[in-house]
Amino acid sequence: MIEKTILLVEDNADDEVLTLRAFAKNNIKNQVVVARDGAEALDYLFAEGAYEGRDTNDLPQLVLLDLKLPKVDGLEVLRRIRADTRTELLPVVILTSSREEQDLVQGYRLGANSYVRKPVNFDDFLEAARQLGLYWLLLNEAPPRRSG
Amino acid sequence: MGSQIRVLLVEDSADDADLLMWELKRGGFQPESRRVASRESFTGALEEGDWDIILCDFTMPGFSGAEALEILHRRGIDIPFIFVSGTLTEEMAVAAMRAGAHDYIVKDRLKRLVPAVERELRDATARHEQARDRQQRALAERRFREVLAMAPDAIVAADGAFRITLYNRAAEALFGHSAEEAIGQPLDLLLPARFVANHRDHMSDFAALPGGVQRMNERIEIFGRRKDGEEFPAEAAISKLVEDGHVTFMTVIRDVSERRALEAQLRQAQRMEAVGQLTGGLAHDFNNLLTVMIGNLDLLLERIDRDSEVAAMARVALEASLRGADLTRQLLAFARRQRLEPKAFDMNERIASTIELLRRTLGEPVEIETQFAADLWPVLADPAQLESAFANLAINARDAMPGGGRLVIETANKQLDDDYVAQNADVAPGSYVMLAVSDSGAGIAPAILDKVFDPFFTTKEMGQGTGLGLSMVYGFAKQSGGHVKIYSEIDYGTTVRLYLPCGDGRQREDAVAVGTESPVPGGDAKILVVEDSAAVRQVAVNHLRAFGYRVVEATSGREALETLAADDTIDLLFTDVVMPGGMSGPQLAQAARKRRPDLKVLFTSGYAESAIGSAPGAGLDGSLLSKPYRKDELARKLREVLDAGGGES
Amino acid sequence: MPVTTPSREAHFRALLEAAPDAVVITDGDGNIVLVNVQTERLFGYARRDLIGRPVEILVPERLHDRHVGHRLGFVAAPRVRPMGEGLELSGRRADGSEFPIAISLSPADTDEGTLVIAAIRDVTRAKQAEKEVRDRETRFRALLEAAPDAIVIADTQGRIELVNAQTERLFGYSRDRLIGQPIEILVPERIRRGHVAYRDAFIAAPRVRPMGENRELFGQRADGSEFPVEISLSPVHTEQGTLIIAAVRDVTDRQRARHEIETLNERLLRDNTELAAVNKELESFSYSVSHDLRAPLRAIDGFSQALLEDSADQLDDTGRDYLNRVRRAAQRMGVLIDDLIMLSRVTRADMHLRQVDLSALAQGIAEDLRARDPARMADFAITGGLTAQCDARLIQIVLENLLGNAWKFTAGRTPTRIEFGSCRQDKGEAYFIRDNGAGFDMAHADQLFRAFQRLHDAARFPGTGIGLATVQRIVTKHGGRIWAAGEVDKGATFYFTLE
Repeated sequence: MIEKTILLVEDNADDEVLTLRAFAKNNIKNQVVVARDGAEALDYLFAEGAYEGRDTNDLPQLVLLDLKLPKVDGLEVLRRIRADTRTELLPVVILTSSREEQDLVQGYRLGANSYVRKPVNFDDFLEAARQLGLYWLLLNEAPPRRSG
Repeated sequence: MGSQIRVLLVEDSADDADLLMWELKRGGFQPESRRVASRESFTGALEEGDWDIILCDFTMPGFSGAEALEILHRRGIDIPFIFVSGTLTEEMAVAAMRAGAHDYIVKDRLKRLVPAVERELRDATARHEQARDRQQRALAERRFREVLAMAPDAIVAADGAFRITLYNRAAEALFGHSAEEAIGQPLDLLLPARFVANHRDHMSDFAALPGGVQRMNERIEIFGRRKDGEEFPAEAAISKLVEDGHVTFMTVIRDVSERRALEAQLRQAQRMEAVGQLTGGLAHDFNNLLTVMIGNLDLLLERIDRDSEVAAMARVALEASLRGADLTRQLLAFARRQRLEPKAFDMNERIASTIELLRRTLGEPVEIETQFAADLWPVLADPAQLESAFANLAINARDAMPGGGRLVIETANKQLDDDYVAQNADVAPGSYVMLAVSDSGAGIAPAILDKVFDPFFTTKEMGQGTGLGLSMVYGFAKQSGGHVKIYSEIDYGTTVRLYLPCGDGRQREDAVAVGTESPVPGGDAKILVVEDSAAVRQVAVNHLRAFGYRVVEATSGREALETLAADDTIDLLFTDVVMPGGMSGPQLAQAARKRRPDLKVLFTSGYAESAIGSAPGAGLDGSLLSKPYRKDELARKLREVLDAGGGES
Repeated sequence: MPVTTPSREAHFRALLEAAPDAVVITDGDGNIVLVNVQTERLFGYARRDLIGRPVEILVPERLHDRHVGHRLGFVAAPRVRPMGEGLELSGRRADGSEFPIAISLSPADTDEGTLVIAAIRDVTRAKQAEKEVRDRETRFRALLEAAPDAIVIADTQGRIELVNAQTERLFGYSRDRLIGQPIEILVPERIRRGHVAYRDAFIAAPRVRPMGENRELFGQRADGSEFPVEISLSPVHTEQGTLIIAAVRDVTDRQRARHEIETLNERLLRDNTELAAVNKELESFSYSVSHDLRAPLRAIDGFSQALLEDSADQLDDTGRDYLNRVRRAAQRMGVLIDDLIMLSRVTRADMHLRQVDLSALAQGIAEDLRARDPARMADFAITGGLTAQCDARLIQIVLENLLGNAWKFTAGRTPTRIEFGSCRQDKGEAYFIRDNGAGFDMAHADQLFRAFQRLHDAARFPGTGIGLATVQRIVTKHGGRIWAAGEVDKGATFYFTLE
């Protein structure tokens, strides 16, 4: 089975590079689609704008969603994902650089599945990515066959 | 006793009147009298007033003694009134008594007249005194009543069973109950439920104390409860009055929520100050760490091939650290809010270097155009604050153009004349240096244009951008004695003009050129590096060695002094300003120069220059290089100090 | 005038019974000859119990002697005596109770000699009314004295008529040095002249109002010192003319608080930005620091790490050393930022007090620490059942910091021993966390809690220096105290109390 995609919604190019690197280090081989802002993420998910014509049934296995985004912010993206029947069950993990409770509380209230704090220490980030992969890509979904 | 008395005779017979007068004279009085025999003349005489005694016949044609007495009583006049009659019956006696006559004399027994008059005059005096006393008491009561009514404090009295017996207007206003509602209710009405039991105990203890009038306490702190249930802090003075075994508690209550609020505000302000200080302290650590990051990446970049992939990655990391340094400076300058001293400097230069820093933040779709006046006057302001203000303006401009656009940055000399001032109340006429930042964005609706400097106003969601907003720009302009104007047109864009006072240019600020790439001047002088942080020291030492200098290290002021004493070939002291161990950089420099007046000194610090300037005993006698610094900045600054004549660089 | 004919007597009796007052007629020896029905009612005696008895039966015993004297005096020089307002007379009822009365007396010459007719009126009501006036006056006077404000009453000439105790206290004058003095005695000399004008203006148009609404007012004490006051004024119109009542309140404290705030504000803001705005800005500042400043740090650390891994072949040891230094600095700055955010959050946080099981919290933290490094031999001795009234979230931070520190400073110690317990202090219970770790020099003990006042030897005492400052701030917020004891290489004990 072809690994499903991961949608990474991240405006910071450095963080994008580092996230992809962390996935690679953890053997997460899923294809990663990067959206640079909230609007682009929504376009991708609902096959609108630049993504018009994309098959909306082809949902990513996981959305990694930064909260601070230009145009449409992360919480709003989350709200729209949960409001649409096509995407309401989509696993969404919030990426946040702070532990500000208001963000997390709000995120959980809107139906986020989990959150990952972007640590300064890259090693910690690697660990977070590993957990992320383990749980959301392997354990959370009973896969038809075990990945090598 | 020849006392003078004024006698009003109500008597139809002149002879009888003379007889009475004669009797009084005989008794030692000097009577002055008037005789009246009708209602009209009687009332007329009363109005003229001032009679000491009235002697009244019982019956007269057309008038009677009873009538006269009634008139007197109706008018509330208290003058001794004695019936003098030719006849006396029991009925007459009873009637006279009942009517309130003071005495009753039969004309054929006139010897009783004088003693009766004497006695009545005496009684009347006593009565008048009593009445006056009563009147005074009533007056005093009215005064106190007035005090009570006007008292700015709520006054509540309660009886021994703690039922409210008195409740003034201020109490009505304070507690919300009307006097009608409150009087007769238990005192508990005015207290939060949780204090009731405690309060009762207190009051009972107080009631049990011996003595009449007593003050319980100078002031006690309590909580009151308003009719709507709201609690408020109050200060109360309570006194107890015991009379005939009846206890009255009087409480004067003052709402101190305003004062509490003030105190809370004060605490809040102190808290804020604490955080401010903390953040100020943080600058030192942040800047040291950034020095280490930037320094080591600089060092690394020197060791590797400029065009390699490794160098590209290192440059990404370096750029990130420069961005961190930039952010740190902005954020800390904002948070610190210490007294920043304005100085005269070249705004063009400062803005130009800030633009370089901002380029990445602003992003590629924003095209930056500068229109700098070549002959710009020096501006008098705080440089770091100006940078922050400019950064805020630029970032706001960027946010106004999400799809990109043109950012025009203009500087100019401006004379603001009286006409301009007349239209802009908050500015004084004179010479100003102007900085204008224009965008080609969506513009701001006129309705909210005057709100954009409001600290609470933001068109941005919390967390976007730095969130510091235009209020900082406004505050900066006002603090600097300047002025901000905003001009906006929907669909065309917005221009913010910042007018700052012009400086005389004598105190030029040292140029800071972060990140410029000119050849690095070195030398072979011997430099003593004093720095408590090993990581920072290592960076400095490595840089200096790379420039060709000879380096000696010390970790504290004391150690540095020992080194200086042992080695007189040291040319320059490069020292941190703030160091633990009891000796600061400036103190070290002072001590070192006592021994070596020619010693050159370069200070470095993670604190803002202005913050150091206000530190006790700081007295920076030398140049300062702010942390974090780039390798080439360090090189240039060192050259400057070494090349300056004499030891007083 | 002799009362002889039966018809006249009947008429007289009828008159007597109709009288509103009790009428008692006595003979020259003071024996009761006749009483009317009002007498029976008033004194509670039946007529037959009175007739023939000395009139003193109606007088309280203690006054008998005096009464006999009065009576004899009256008989010697009889006259009609009116209801005296002036004389305090008392009657005595059959049941022994006393009550205030007014009496008018008149003599009546009869065949049996001079009789004395006494009309007696119960004046309990009137007396009560009078007493009430007196009581009220006393009460108001007491009130005036109890008032926390200084109350000064002056006439229109500005002469002081009356002051209360608080005035004496506040201004340092005794009452007698104030009464009759011009009110300006209480006003600082420099503004006395102006005060006279204000006073005249008030008298010209008196009304209840606070004085000097927009001005700062000052009082002057007997010793010449000045202090800020707040004054409210009201006029009272009396028969002797208008009086002015001034309630004077010392506002030194409030003024001081206000000035302090102003000074602080100036220092903090130097402009017109409101405190609230700063608070909000501080929030966004914290937010910005945590978001914006962490982003470049992530890049620095991440790319440095990438360099170390991907380009190891292109780097020599020195190059790798540089990168490791960069990473350490970036990570440390990240920790600093986190701690700062924590501290600022603690500073801003509201307290939610409830009963908290400290032992359970400590146990949880200990387990977390152990899980972090399962290989470490560590012995946690946590006293059970320690509870306190505190904010659970904040106290969690305290315990995390203190236990975390203990864990850190016992690294390399075998066996590690960390204790959490409590002990009695002079003022309640103190909790402690003790370790057998690196300890510290007691000479530096007071520096431990100052943010950024790091102890010099960073290797021996890592941490940001903010952690303990945060802990201290939380403890202080709870009304408690924190202190530490230690010895280098022997371990440290941190004590704290909670209100």
